[in-house]
Amino acid sequence: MISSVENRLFALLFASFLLVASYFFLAYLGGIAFVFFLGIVLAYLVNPFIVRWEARGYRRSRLVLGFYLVVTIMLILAARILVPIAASAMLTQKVRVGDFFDVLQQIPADIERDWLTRLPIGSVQAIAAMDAAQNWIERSVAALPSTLLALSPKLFDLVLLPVITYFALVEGPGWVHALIRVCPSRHVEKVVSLVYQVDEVLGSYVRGLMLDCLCFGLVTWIVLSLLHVNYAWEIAVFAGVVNVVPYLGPFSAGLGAAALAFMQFRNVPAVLRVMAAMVAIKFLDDWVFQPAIMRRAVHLHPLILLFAIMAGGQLFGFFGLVFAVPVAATVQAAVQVFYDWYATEIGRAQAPFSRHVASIPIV
Amino acid sequence: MAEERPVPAPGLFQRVFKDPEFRARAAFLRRVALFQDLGARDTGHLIQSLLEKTYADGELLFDEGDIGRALFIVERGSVEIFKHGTEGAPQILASAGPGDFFGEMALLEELPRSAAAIARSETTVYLLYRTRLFGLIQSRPRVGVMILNQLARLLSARLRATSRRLVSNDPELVGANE
Repeated sequence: MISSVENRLFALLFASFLLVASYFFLAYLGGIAFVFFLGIVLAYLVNPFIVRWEARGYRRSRLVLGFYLVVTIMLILAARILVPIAASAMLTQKVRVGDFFDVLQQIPADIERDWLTRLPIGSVQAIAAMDAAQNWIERSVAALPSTLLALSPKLFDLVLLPVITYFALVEGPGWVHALIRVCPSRHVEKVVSLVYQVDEVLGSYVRGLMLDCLCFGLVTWIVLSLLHVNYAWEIAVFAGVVNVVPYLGPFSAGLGAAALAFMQFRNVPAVLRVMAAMVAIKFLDDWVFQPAIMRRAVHLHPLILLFAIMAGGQLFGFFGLVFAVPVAATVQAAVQVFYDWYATEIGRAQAPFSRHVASIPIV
Repeated sequence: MAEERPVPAPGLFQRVFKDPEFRARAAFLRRVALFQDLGARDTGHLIQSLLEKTYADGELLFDEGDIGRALFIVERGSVEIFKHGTEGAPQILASAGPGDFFGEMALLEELPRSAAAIARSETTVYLLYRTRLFGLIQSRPRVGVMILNQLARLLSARLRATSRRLVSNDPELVGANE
């Protein structure tokens, strides 16, 4: 007869095997698995809108179709309005784009002229380093068209993505119900509890993060506009989007803003002002927005957060960085659920009422 | 279970856009005593918090001593609630049919079940998990409070019946009260 310890050991080994197999499966499939993963994530983001109407008794399939119809109409309208504006803007901005590349290529020469002559190092080495930097920039600018061309297979993913999202949305909670159906009766309660707690953690994380990104982008736009930085709106959108990656996102947004400010103002104090503003916005985000918005989301220790981000980046690259935090939050929620079960099993989950309180009769 | 009201035939819009299964579930749940105060939209939110599961004849829903985490509502079939007897023979406490519900204590605290439940025919039940009820209380406080209010009334009624039974030692009184 198999003892419960052996049973648990087997379950642990099986779970470890599944985890390792999943990693190699994902690593082997690479991009394909990622498109499916992204489609499911998108469906998860859209699902609350569908659920809201489904509670009124509408068929899920009709609601998903309606959602796609509304999105398509909005895209067509946006294209009809925005394309002519963008086209005219491009015509007027054509010269400016050319200027942008000229400025980009001029930066090493400017630095050499304005700064390197003041440095207490050998001018020959410094000039050689600057030449190398200038060559790199020129090569990168020249390689831009071929780099864009190499991205063309991704267009297929763009077409595939809404299809995957559609099917994931139509199925909706059906995935959970299917899992419940195949689950042995004795374990249904545990599985459901786990699924819903993870869903709650992920849901509050995603909702909180989106609101936080919106606030971060909005404040960035206001502050950069007040500092008269060109492309304030574009930088704000970029800052809001990259804010999904903790630490690295705001850092890269700040770096981008500083670089653009340098190209615009061509003086260090202005750049320092922009950098200080970006740092202040980050502190505002950390101390005001996040505590207010993310108070119901899972709180991860900063060390765990850093480790998750670095591990995500190491294992899955850029998208590993993006999804590191929600995955870590999910793992933490799962660990919490398992601990709660353990605490309940050994009777430590809730302090019982005292015998005196319990002995008072119901009247 | 409350009386069934006649349901008007659905129009073209309802046939195309509304989910008949959802409609049937909502009609069924509004007849369950615990949810009879809920409005149409509230019932919709409740349905989204429930899970449906079918058990085969003779399948155990939960055993005595298992930690309870869900309330069970019988949609069709029948369930027998019993305690394991000291001499091996089970002691049947009650039977639950369509519209009946049991295991409500699990919604209040996660303690070991005081009895076991077994399906006595192919049985479909709706499960309301404590986790989901708490989620409902947070997201739709009105719905959560209405359910908790009904639950408190139900527990009060059952406890009064138990008290009377203890005092009079007459099981017939319990049936009259229920």
